[in-house]
Parts: sequence; C-alpha cells; structure tokens
Amino acid sequence: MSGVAFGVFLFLFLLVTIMGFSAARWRRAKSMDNLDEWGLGGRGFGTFIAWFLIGGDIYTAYTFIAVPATLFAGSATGFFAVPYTIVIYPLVFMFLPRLWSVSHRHGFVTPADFVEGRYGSKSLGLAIAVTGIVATMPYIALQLVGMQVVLDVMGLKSSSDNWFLKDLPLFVAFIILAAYTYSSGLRAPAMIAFVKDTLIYIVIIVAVIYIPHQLGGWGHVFDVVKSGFSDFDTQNADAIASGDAAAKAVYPATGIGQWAYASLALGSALALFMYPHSITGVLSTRSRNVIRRNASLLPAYSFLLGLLALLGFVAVAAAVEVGDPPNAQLAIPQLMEDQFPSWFAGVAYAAIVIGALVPAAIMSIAAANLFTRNIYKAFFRPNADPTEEAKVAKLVSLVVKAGALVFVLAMSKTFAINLQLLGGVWILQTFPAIVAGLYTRWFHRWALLAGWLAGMIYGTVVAYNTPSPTQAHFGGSVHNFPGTETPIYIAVTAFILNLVIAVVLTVVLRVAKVPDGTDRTRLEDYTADLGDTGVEAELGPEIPVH
Amino acid sequence: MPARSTGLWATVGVLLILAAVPPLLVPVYAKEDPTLWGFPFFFWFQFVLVIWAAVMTTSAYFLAKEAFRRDRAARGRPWEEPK
Repeated sequence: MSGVAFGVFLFLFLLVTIMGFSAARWRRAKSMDNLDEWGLGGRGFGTFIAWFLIGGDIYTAYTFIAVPATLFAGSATGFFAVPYTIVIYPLVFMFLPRLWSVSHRHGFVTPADFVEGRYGSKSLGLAIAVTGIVATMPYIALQLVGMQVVLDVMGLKSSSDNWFLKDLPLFVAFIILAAYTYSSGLRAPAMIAFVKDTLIYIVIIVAVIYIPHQLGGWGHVFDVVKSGFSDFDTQNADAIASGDAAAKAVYPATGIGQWAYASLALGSALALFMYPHSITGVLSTRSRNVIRRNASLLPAYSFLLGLLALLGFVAVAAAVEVGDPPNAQLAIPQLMEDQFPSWFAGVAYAAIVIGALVPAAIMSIAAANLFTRNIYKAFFRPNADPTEEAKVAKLVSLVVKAGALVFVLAMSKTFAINLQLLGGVWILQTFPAIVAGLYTRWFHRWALLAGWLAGMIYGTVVAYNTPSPTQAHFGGSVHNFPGTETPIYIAVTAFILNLVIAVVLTVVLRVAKVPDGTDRTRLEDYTADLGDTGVEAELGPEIPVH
Repeated sequence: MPARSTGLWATVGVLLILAAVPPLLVPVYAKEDPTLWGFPFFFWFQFVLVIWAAVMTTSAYFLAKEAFRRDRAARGRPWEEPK
C-alpha cells in the first residue's frame, strides 16, 4: 500500500471522527441525559437523515465484504441479498408505522418495551430483549471483522506476534468509535452515515464501471466466470458427488438451489426489522409518514448492493489473489488495491471502514437500550429515572463494544460468523410476538413465549448439526425441510414451528382460561401521529425534556 | 360522511404484494437468456425488480397517505402531513 492511499484514508477517518464528536451539539436538546435523546437522537429525524441512518443500518461493512465474497467463492446464492432487500420494504411499509405510533404514545424505546406493554408480561419482554442482544453482539463483531480485513489489505497489520500490537489500528479505531458513541449517542452515526453512504456510492459506482472496463467489459467477466466455474466442477466432479466440495454455479439452476435462494430472501427479510438496531433507526424518525416515504426510497440501496455483489465475479475475472489458504473475504479490498489508483483505493478503504463504524455504533446503542429498559429497569431498578437510564445505557454501549472486540480478537473469526448465522435464526423467533402484537391481542403471552423457546432451541440444534464440505457444524444457513429433500433457510423452519406452537397453545390456554396479562395499549395508539395527544411531548430537538 | 378508504387500502395491499412476491418466484427468472449487456437474465432481471418494487411502494405510499387521512377524518381526528 502506498503513502497516498494511507493519507487519503487517514484524512477521511479524521473527518468522521470530528463529525462524531461534534454530533452531540447537532439539533441540540436541552439535555442528553435520557434515552429519547441519547438512544433515539431526539426522535426527530426527517426523511433525509432517516434514509441515510436506516440505509447505514442495513447495508453494513460486513455486507460489503461478505456478499461479494460468496459470489467470488462460487456460490450465486449470495446474490439472495438482492431479493431479500426488495422484499423488506413492503413489510416495513405495512407494520412499522404502527410500531412507531404505539411507541411514541407510550414512550417505548425498544421492541421489548412494546411487547411488555402489549402483553403485560415482563418475561416475554425479557425473552425479546435477550434475543435482541445475543443476535446483535456477533453482528457488531462482524463489523470489526470487516474492518480488520481492510486494515489487513492496507498492510496496517504489523508482523508482531503480540496480540495487542498485531491489531493496534483496530483498537485505535474502536476506542474512537466508543468515545463518540458514548458522548453523542445516536446523533453520531446519523451524522456520519451521510459521509459513509456518499463514499460507498461513489466507490461502488466507480468500481462497477471502471474495473470491468479495465478487464474487457461485463460480458467478458461473466464468460470468464462461467468457464472457470464449469472447469472447477469438471475437475472436482468426484469430490462434489461425494459431498467433499461444493459445486460452483453462476446462478441457482436447479429447483433445490432455488428453494434455498427464495427462503433465504424471505426469512432474512422477515428477520431484518426484528433486529433492535433497525427498530432504533425507525423509532428515531420524526413522524409516521417518514417511515413509509423511506420504504419507497430505500430500494436505491438494493440496486447498489446488487452491483456490489457482482464485484465478486469481477474479482474472479481479475484473478485476485486471496492468500493461502484462500480467504474469500479479502477479495473485494484486494480487488480495489489491485485495480484502483492508490488515492482512490484510499477512498475505498475509508468507505468500508466508516461503513463498519456506523452500524457498529447503532447496534451497540440498540443493545444498550434493550439492556437498560428491559433488564436493568424491568428487573433491578424499577424506579430508575431517565438520567439513570441514560447513564447505564452509555456504559453498557461501551461494554457491548468491548465484548465484540474481545470476541473478534480472542476467538476464531469462524465463531463470529457462525453466531451471526444463528443470530438471524434467533431474531426471527421474535417476529410473532412483535408483529402479530401490532395487529391483534389474540395470541396468549405464554403461548408466544413457548413458541419462541421452541423456535430458538430447534433453530440452534439444526444449525449446529448442519455440516459443510469444510466444517462439521454450522456449515450453512439451509437444511432439508423435515420430511423432504428440499433445502430451505433454517430460520424459516424454526419460525413455522414457533408459529404453530403459539397458535395451538393460545387455543389451549384460552380454553383453560389461563389469565392473560393487561394490555396497556389502545386501538387508536396504533395510528397516532405527530401532534396527537402524548405524541408531541417527546419530539423535536427544541422541545424541553420532561 | 367522509370518503371511504377501503378501496384505497385494498389497492395499497395489491401494490405491496406486486412488489414483494415476484422476487420470491426464483424459477421464473433463474435462467441464462436473454442476456443484456453481457449480464445473464438472472442478474439483470433482479435489477429490474428493484426498480419495479420501488415504483410499487412509491405508489402505495401516496395512496396510503390519502387512505390514512380519510380514516382519521372519519374518526374525528383530522390529519395533515406533519411538516
């Protein structure tokens, strides 16, 4: 790596650092000492900021590394990220405005707050909160993995064997991130997200035009990839037949691959807005309408993600070297290192690293909100005032990030990836309680809890028992649907089980007249908007904090 | 009596289904030909779906805004889009 690339990288990194710290003053509130301000940025973001913030949430650095890496490694299934991010927005459109309204009426900060208020059940709230936290932790860890990969390619990894010196740049970046998240709360990632996405857009647009042009055009890229993959399949026909290697393909041509593709897209789309950090982004918006308007504007990112995914094929055509043993995750940063002039490579590295900082900040804030509201306050300090809540959440955000760092440095990277896979399976199990709850109180709280538990256990066991050619456990996201030879996303099977149990037990519990909790919400809460009773009180940066 | 919103909500629902369902019908688009600028059908068609879905959700957004306004008016809680 050249000095120029490093200089550009450092300049952009310092720029966002300054922005992160000064964000505390942006749309300044009377006091930052409560979760509406620190944890939700004052609940006052309009369409423009929300677009960057929610986009920054979904399209993370790890996405930018991992999605093209799967295509690079020969599995077109990775392209499911595109249908997945198409299916998301109609779902967002339908149910998140209701969650926004009810949350504003009642001052809910987390999805678990809503579940607790709706079903009058602290245990169900706890289940939602714990699932959110454990699913988010590995997600943060993977942002660090994404950052580490870029720092690696930049040559910033020293040859020292000392575990601390080896990853010193990662530590530095992380301490800075932790410091400004602590002081500025959600305002920091909201402000930086603007820079992040601008950089990412520029880099990807340049990459998809410039690099294939250098290599002889997209048609040539696809030709090279196709012949390369079919050569691989011919040479390794025996290994593929015996399950010791995976066949490579440009697109899922068989019914088996297509089921996996569709179920991954659907399951991931249902799961995404159950993640606490996505809900944090949505609840930080100023009015109900902002969510729907964003649902129609956010697909711009899906387009970008599709182009980015195809860079995985471009890297194949460019014959990028990814080390021995090969690490497909190096493909994209290495492609940029090889193909771009050094100053632009610096921009690209900065884009990915900043792309890790934004979601890592939002995720740690979301996890901290969950811990504070649904564990600390719910079970230990019921009388905690808003100042105490903010203090605890700020500290927890540090703990969460430190935990993720230890995760990445002390344990194998595979472990973080496995847990992230499980995280997707787990988080989908909170769907019935949250989404059904937005429309009906028909489900019984204990039935939902039992369904959740069944889905969690089933999903974990199945994921553990799924082998791949290279590992005995956590070998992939799909398994054969029980009783068939059709592979589908594990999360979807677990979700179906969860739902069936919740329905059956609800009927049983209702017949047995087991007492149900008190519902603190009312019908009109679900359509309340800015200006209605109880809604304006928490909104807008100018409004004094209660 | 304010205008009814039922028809509008039904249209919103249809638009959202039209946006969300096609990407899940993988067998329809998992093929090589016809290619476009060197891109196999499988890839370029999904890019078209992104734009298609954006058009559907944007139309749904405008209809839903009107339907929401009518619902609120019918329940005596008039609503205008907050600035």
